[in-house]
Amino acid sequence: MSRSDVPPLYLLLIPLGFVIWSIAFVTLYAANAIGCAFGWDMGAQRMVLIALALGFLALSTLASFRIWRFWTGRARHQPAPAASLAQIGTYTALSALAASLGTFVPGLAVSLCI
Amino acid sequence: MSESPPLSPIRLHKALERIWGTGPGWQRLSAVNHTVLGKRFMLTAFVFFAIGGVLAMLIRAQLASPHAAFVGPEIYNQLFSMHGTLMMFLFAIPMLEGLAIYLLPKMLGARDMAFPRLTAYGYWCYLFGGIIIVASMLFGVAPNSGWFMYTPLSSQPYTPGINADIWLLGVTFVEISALSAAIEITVSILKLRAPGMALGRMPLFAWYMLVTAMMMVFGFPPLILGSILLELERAFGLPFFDPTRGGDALLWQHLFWLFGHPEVYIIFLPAAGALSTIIPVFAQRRIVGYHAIIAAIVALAFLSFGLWVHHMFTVGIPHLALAFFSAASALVAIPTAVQIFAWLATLAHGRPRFEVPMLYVMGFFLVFVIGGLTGVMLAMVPFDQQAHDSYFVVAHLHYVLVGGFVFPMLAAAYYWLPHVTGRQSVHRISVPAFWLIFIGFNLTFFMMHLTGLMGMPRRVYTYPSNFGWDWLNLLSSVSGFILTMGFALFAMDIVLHFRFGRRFRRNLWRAPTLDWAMPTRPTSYAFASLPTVTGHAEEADPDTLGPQLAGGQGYLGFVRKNRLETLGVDMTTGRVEHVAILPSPTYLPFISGALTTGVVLAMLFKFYIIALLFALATFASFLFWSREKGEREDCGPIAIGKGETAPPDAEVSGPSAYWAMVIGLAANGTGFAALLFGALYLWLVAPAWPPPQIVGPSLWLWLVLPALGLASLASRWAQGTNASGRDPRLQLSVGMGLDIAALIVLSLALAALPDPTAHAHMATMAALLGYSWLHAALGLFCGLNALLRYRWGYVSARRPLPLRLNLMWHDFTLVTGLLGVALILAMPGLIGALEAAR
Amino acid sequence: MKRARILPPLALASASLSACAGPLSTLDPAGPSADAVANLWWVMFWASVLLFLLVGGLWALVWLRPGFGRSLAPMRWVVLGGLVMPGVLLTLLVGFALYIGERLLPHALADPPPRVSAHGIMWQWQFSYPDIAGAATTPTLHIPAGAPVDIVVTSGDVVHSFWVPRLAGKIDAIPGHRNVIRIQADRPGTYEGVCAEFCGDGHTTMRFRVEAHAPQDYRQAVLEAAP
Ligand SMILES: [Cu+2]
Repeated sequence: MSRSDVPPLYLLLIPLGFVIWSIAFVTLYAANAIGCAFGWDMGAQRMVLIALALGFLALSTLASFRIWRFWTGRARHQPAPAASLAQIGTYTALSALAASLGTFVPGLAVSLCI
Repeated sequence: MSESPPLSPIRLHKALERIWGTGPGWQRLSAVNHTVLGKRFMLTAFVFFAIGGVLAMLIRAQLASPHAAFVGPEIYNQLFSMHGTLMMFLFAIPMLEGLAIYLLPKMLGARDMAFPRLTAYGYWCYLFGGIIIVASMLFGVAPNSGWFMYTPLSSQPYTPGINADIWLLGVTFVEISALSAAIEITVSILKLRAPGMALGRMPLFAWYMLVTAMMMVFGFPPLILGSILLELERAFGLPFFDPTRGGDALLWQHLFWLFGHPEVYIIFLPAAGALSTIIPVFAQRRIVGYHAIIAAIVALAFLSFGLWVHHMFTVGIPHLALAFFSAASALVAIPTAVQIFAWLATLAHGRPRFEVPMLYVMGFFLVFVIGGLTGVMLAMVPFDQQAHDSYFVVAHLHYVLVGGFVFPMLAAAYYWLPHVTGRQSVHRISVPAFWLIFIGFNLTFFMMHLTGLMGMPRRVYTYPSNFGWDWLNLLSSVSGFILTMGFALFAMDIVLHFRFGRRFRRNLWRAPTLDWAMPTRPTSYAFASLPTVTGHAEEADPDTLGPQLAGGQGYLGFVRKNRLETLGVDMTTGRVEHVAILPSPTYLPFISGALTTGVVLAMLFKFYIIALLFALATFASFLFWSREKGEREDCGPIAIGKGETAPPDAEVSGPSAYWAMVIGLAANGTGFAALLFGALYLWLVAPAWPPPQIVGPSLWLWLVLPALGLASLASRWAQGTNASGRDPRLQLSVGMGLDIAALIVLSLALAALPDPTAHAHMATMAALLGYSWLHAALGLFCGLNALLRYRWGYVSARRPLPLRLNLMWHDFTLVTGLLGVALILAMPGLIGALEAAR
Repeated sequence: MKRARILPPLALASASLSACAGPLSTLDPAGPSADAVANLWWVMFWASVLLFLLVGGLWALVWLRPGFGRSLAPMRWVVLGGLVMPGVLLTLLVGFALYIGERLLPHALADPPPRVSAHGIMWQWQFSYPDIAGAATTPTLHIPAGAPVDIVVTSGDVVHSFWVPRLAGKIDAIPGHRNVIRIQADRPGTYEGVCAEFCGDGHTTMRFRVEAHAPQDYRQAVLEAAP
């Protein structure tokens, strides 16, 4: 039973950015549904949604940055698949960051409960 | 263990063929080989495609003129429901599975898929399920609520007959087979590759299939769960979707589209994978943007889950939520565009040569781009509110699915058919067939966009002539027959190809992938010895590699103990990790498939006792699977050729079966998450709440957790005992006793619930407990399996797999049970809070 | 031809598509909501024509002029064509569509529009008028012309969908739910409507008619309309 140089966990580098996007998506959608069902004040609900979106954007940025650093730094000195996975991970994390901007920013300006 | 002297290529072939091959006559029922089953999947899918096509012709015949009296609404509703169901579930998904099963081992440099018997079982489930669905037409009781089965129309009061049950049970049957195929595809790609094929060197087709299979793993469970809930409502009156008793029609729509939208991309991605394989061959250049394409398909996979609500823009969801889904639906065009331009760049920077497959690739380009553009239009909320449920959508979805799947599959057929048959076409019927299909398709569907904008709703069986739709429909109907003639010509060309095609030597298209580094037609064992990948797998040289491998110069170029061996590698680096020992041909998958069909048929006719007996028989048959396969002794590393050694799969920590369990539990967990979502969704949104009675904590409910927890502890104890080299049977027996205790406690907790047919609140709570009950019962089966395998001598401290799987299952059961009970205990508080806010 | 006001160059094309007129045609709008969507459609239609010609043209050039695209580095193709172009276009389009969508919503108004209830059952629509005392349920929908009306859409059995293509988009009638759609007919007249969501054997014939009356005649028309 030998241990791998590049453990299977490295595979998670690839979807990481979009996992954050998915959690953000579901959280914002749920917060909107709960806010409308519970009759929250519109201003307060919008603030909650914007705060959540900003939080997730920050998280997404951080993740992209870390994966990129990993790709350009440590992953270079590991066996080839590490660099390859980190490269794909950087691309997907950046795509996820762009997707977060594209998905959440336009929506936050429109009507909340109609 | 010493290596036997090298055999001549012919003797090696004979030795391998004798153990890998499938016998003639009735022995064909025992086939487990990926080449055989891949072909069967594709052929069966094509037959269902033809049946679906005939239904489409009947639809077009009815709509050719206004006030047509060819069929009435009762028949027409069955026609379009069946057309959609056949094309989606019995054609597209099995076709892509067949392609993957046929090609993946060959492209990855392995001898078969990871679970050949599961492949066969999946095929039989698909075939029998498909026959049940199609046979219902002959009796005039085919599903008639549309292929997305909206409730309450598909519920008991409005569809009292067997029609909807056939859809729910038949499609679930086929879906479970597809889910098992998805798990198998994932594990095969991750574990069974040629030595040296690190993930970053894997052919793009495998990446596409990996992403597709993962999407199936997470996309199918919501639909399977939804179908089970709806069948529970129809058969036993549990009101999950009944708005008068706290259910909600929209819950079905959410669960359906949570599957249904990713489904479109599940169908498109393998086709795109085929394109990413074919285009570089004819561009005579490596694909542009390998890493960018992988990132794009991962993005596509996730985004496609984030736009399920774009089928629900008219149900009255707040604009803010619609905005998220609208933006996500538009964004999904970007990764698609990345691929389109990567393909264009590959051609622009290559030395393109035009052959028949490229003709069909051109058809894909032109048709699919139009489908993509109308897709972006439909992503815009205000426009969708006009176009939704009109013929504009019908046109759009045919452009996407025919453009994104059928044309690439036709290209793939012309590209890989020589691989399947060892022949190349002599007649050029493929060219007129293309033009008939291409022109017929566009004439049928292009003006249909206008038909929709002119206000024609979907699924009307006729129309008066004063709405200006007459000439549009006539055009579509006439052109539909041109399209059909094209497909008939294609089918004829295939038959002629098999009959009269000219034989060729290796690698017809000068392709750079491993699937051509073997004799064509392929042998049952694919590679006489396994290649080593030193560069990128898309830059291989099949012409020199093929003869070397046939001569046994790669890994495993011998037959040992009549075992079917292939290599398992480290998931990421592709270093040799173990020798995977695969099962020989067996009738068990056929028997299990037939027994499972018995379960489905008995449930269809509401003979639940008989269904239960069949289910028990099915599980008993699985124990025979377990009995047939395994190693009875610890043997340590064995020779694999080239002077290297590797341990057999039973003796490593991460063999295929372990990863299959991990991925299976991920799928299972997704289904459970969908159930939690359903319970909370109904609480938040459904009408007719609060419920007349609220489920409170009962004594039995509190006892569920200790029972599940102890069963999990016993499994851990059994595993520890085995790991230290002692007999774990006592501990396993204790674990099974605790499973039975958990079953009793759960049964009593279920009995203590108020009447679950009274309100959706009680029904969802019952479903949560029922989920745990089912898992405890399967835990019992896992324990029994481990016990028997120990008895049969397949388990030792170094071969602990059955005990590990048993533990994983019990831990999963504990965690989901914990979450389920927590939600049940939280419900009174949640209901109170919402009522207070209202 | 209202759309010509916003997109004059398209008037010609619109005229050539005069076949688009019809009693159920979304391209023959008779109210502000359908009009806005028709405009959105024409914008997207012409943009799509250009994009299709671009991709189709590139495909043709790749074959007819081998090597024409070599001057652009391979990844440039992907970045420019796959990221930049769709990124810019989609951002503009999503913003525009959300802006239009926002205007079509039934926002609260200082002067609340009249409300009419549309109740779908298998397989007909029942229209009632809570604002007008003594008004009976009618099989034809009566509305005042020239001003917005809120239609409260509900269902008594399965999912139906309320759609008057010349006036506005559709909204589903879902049992247990209550959806509101704001429609307006600019001029008095008769407009056709259909049930857009498949609802069983009678789905095809679940059509209805909208009669828009001059505001001063509306009340009287409703009171007289009882069958
Ligand atoms: Cu209806």
